[in-house]
Amino acid sequence: MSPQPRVEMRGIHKVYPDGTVALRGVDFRLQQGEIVGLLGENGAGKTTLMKILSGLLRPTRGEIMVDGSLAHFRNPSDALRVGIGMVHQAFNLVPPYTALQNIVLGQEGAGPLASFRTDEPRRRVAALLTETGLEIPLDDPVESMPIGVQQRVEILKTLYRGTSVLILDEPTSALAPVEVHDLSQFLKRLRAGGKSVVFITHKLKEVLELSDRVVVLRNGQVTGEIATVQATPEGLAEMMVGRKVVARVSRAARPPGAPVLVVRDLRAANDQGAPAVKGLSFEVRAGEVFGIAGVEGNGQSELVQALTGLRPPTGGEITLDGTRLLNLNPLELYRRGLGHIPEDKARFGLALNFDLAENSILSRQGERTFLGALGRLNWGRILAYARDLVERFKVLAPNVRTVVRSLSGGNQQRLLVGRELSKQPVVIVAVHPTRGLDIASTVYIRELLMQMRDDGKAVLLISADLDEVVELSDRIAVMYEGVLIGAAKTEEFTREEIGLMMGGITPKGSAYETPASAPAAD
Amino acid sequence: MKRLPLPRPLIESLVTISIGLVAGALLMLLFDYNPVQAYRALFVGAFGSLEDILETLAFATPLMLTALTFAVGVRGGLFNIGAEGQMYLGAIGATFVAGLLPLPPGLHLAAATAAGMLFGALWAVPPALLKAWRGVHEVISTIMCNWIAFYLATYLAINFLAEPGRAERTAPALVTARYPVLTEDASLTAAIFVALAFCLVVYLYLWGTRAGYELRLAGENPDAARYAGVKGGKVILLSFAIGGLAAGLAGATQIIGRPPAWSLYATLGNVITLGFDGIGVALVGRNHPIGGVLAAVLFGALAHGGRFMEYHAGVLSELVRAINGLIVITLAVPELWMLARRRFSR
Amino acid sequence: MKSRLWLVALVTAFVMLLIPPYAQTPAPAAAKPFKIAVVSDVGGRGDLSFNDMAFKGGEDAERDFGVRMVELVSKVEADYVPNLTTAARDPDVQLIVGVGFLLSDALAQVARKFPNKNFVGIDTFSQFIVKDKFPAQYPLLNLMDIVYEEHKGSALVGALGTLLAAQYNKPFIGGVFGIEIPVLWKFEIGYKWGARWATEWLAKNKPDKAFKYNTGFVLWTYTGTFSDIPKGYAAAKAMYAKDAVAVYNIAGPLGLGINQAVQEIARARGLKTGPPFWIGVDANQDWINPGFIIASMMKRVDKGVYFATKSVKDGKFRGVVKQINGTLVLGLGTKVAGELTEGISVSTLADLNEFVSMGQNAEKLTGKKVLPASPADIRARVKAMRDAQPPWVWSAVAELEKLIRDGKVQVPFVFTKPDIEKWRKELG
Repeated sequence: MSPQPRVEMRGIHKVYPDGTVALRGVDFRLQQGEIVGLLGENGAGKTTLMKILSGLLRPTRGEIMVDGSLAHFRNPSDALRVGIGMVHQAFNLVPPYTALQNIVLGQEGAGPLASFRTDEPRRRVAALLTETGLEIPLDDPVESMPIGVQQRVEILKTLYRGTSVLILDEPTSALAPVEVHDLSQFLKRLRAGGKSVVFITHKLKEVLELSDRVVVLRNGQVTGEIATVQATPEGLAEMMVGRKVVARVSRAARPPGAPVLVVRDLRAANDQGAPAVKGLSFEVRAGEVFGIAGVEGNGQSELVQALTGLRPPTGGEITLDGTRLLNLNPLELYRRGLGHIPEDKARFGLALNFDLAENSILSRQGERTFLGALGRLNWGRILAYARDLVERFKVLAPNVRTVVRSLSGGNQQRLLVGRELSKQPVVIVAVHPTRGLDIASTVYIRELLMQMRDDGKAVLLISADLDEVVELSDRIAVMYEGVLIGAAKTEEFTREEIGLMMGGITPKGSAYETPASAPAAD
Repeated sequence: MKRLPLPRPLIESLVTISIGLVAGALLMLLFDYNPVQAYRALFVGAFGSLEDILETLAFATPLMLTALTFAVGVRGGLFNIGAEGQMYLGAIGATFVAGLLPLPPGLHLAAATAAGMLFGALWAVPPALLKAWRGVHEVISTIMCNWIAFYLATYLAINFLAEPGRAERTAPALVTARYPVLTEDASLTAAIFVALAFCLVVYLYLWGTRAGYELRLAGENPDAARYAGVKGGKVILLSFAIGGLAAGLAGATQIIGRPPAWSLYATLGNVITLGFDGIGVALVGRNHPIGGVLAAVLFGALAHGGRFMEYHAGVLSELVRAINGLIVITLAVPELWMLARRRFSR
Repeated sequence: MKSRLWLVALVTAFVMLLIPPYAQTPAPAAAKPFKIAVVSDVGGRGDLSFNDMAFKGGEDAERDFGVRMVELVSKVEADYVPNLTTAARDPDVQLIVGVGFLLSDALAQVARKFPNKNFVGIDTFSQFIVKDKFPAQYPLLNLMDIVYEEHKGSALVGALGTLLAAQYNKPFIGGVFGIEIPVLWKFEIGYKWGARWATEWLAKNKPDKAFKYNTGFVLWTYTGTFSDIPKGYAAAKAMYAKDAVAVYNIAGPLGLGINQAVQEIARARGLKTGPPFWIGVDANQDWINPGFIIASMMKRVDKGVYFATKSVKDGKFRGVVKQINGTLVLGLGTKVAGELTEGISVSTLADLNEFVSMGQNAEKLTGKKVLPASPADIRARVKAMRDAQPPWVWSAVAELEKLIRDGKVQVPFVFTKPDIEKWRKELG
């Protein structure tokens, strides 16, 4: 290795104000003319590390050396001054401005007429374009450009400011395959020009294609560092996924029953209207847990919302116990036996400023048990029911008139899960059911889910936590870019295989295949 | 009542009131006035005699209702600042029935009150529908409706409801349509009982019925409300309608429940700003119907007691206003902060 | 626990504030102090016209009779009764003045409640309310309504404007009004009537300048506001754009908007004096922009307050009330007990000083510049403007004033809807 790294980070710790530990002593080095892939699962600390390097965050502990001397970044401008710039996942562009205007924005130079003198900046941008081999229609408004071109504008914007260390956060997440190829060409030209690049990703394939060296982060620590030529997908997957130690829940073998929830060719769009669920088919049987693993952002949220009536599907069909369910609101779905443990309990599952009793009837407020004459709430029954929930599901709270916001996350989740289970659903859709919980609550909630299964309910488990999925599920599939790959009995996969699938690499050479049923031909 | 943790917000409010008073005192010291003397004049003025207490409550009566308008909006997740216009229309409705429709005693009073509430509620419907159907932001539409209501009410008052020979105001309410005055020559009438009852009913409605629960859920967490199958449009309409009823009643109380005029001035001078003041009252009252009643009494005390600060402590009237404003702002800060935080945390 | 302590402390503090009633400054053993209280309407102090005129009357009385004036500014209509009551409960206050017709109801109510105090209302009709509701008590002997003959004053300035239109060969005169309430109808019709009278005068006395009155000659706009100054500006600007020679301000502070419109033209054309002019109201507003306010229709609210204070001081108040049946009319040639007590006039150079000092007072009070120039300079410029007009203009106005005073002509007094409709059909 060359003697003097361009950038070196030593012993970086980061603790967020809310107590979350994001980084636990990370060392990271970057040479001049090198492309490094920074690999890891959600929450591994990749983005935090790079935000520290680009001056957006300050480390709790640790130091940054640039060209061998100590650097203190108070803000991104400080980092830019020594040539470090970051392109974020969400672009910072002014939509109606042209590409050129966006690139030079804030760098027009001094004087009142500076913004009118576009000749000089235009020459400089044109030079950059030839240097990097990029093509951009400089005088078109950014809002009319496809995402891939917008990304180039964003990158050029950073380069225009004299960046020689370019950090890209998930640069391929929004790109079409062709655009990914262009990006790879472009990065190579940058490297040839002596610049250094770090890109953040969780996709194994891209790391293998684009980088010279891979650094793998897990849970705030570096778990592997390897030259790309020596790396194998399997090795990287293991470094990325690892093994976490959690008390295990036992899963007794049990013959599955009839299919309860059947999904055929389901399609749904994300908030921006782009397809996010691209023709999914699967079924969940009575007395089984069907687990969907996968890195977040691959369409899971849209899938869950389409299943639970929170987002209208754009196609396909869902049947519950033989009845078609489409375009029903959540309340009607629940009346037909669908229970839902939402991924974001503070958003969908609970009203944090309401008390336990009020939350215990959320979505059940129309049931006759809880009502008196003239639509009055029967508080006597509601309180009794809430007390019962608190007791049965071991929610620690002073009393049922306590505001839910003041409970710990574990107790909030116990209340929510308890409420959903007490509805006696036929199917329960559980999304990240133990995320952010302490170990005791995690185990308890997993036990509850297993109990549901053993009682003959169908459980659809969607989780980014691979251990959880492997531990609880009878069958597993991985969701990747809107489709399911490799659905099979849990025992048929090794963890490494699942890790590969999460990274977008289908084992056994059969790409994008779903055993349950092939996606509708289109 | 056991269902509501009243004491804590109440204690918090008392703490903020004392902070507000200290802030006002500092302002007075800055201008070389004696704050102790001034506050003594304020308190004795507002509560020192039965007469003054009644006067304070007379000022509080419409405010607790317009505060309710804003509070019900916020509880349902809406910034309904249309109380002002809804109140004008309520005043017009009450004026029309009370002044121009001879009806038998008893029925007349009830009809005039109901007309005021109904007019107020009807005026709240367009912004509600615009919001529910087209997503038009209620702040914009209610502000526009306020102005339309102002000119409409002025026009109606001058051209159709004017008292012959005294057209600067409308025909006064007939005696059969007036709330009885509580003591001779007091400004306070039995209208305050109607106002209090309305606040209580709304409180029981919000915390004691399914529809009220759904309204509050929609305001507290719209996503959770969707999850619970609550229909957004219904909540919007309901929240606006209750608010309109309250504001309309507020307007009516100033016509058929407040001597000596018993009528609406063509300048709308005897109702103007009561709707906007209600926003401040609601914020101080933590957007709670009962809190709003208490806050309205506080506002009434400032409105009535303020004149004694001026008269007995010699504080300049502009400064009295500034001090009152400062107290109100200090009091409103916690709730404003909460609202802002809730907005941004979404 | 901590908050409990807070609560105790707070309650104690409130109770302590309540226990000792506010210390009345112990009255000196000498003569019983004589206070008058002035309760303003929602316009309040600083309007440089109606309310300030009332306070000026109180100040004049302070100076001449050694009384003390206290002020109560009403913020909302609902303040009227409590403000009057507050004043009446002060044992030292002997006369309470309510400024503005909106206080009529409140005055009728409070005056009945405090029979030992004397009450005066400016522009009010409280006694009519008493007569209507409590006929047995009419007239209430401790209550005096003071009203003004604004229609007559408006007729005079209407004539003045029209004569200037003839002199400068201009097509219009204008009037900017506030909210359309009946009180303003008498200004409107008086003004138009005066304009028509002037055209008739011209036909007889100045045939070379004469023109025929038509219903479009007086431009008039109800702006719908007594406070939104830019609306006054917009309305006046439109009138001056049609080449109106003078615009009459019947909307209090909106006069400042009219002045702005005039000032714009003056600056554009480099004028030192009108035309165009505007016409002031209530106070002598001629000093506000010397050279451009041809005159003001003065309504001497101050004289009413002064007169009432004097009659209380002399112990004659109730006698006068009885004699005039509760309503004192101040106008042109009006008399009380044979003594001339007028309250309406067209401003003259002679009474300018009094009002310049009102501006000086306002400067002292607010610390802001109010006067546009030194008093001497203002005086010189107003005089120059007046001298620049032909003498026949002033003598014609004086002639109309005499005719009105002698009862030779009747200026219509309009207060009802049918009347205003009838007169608008006739005068435009």
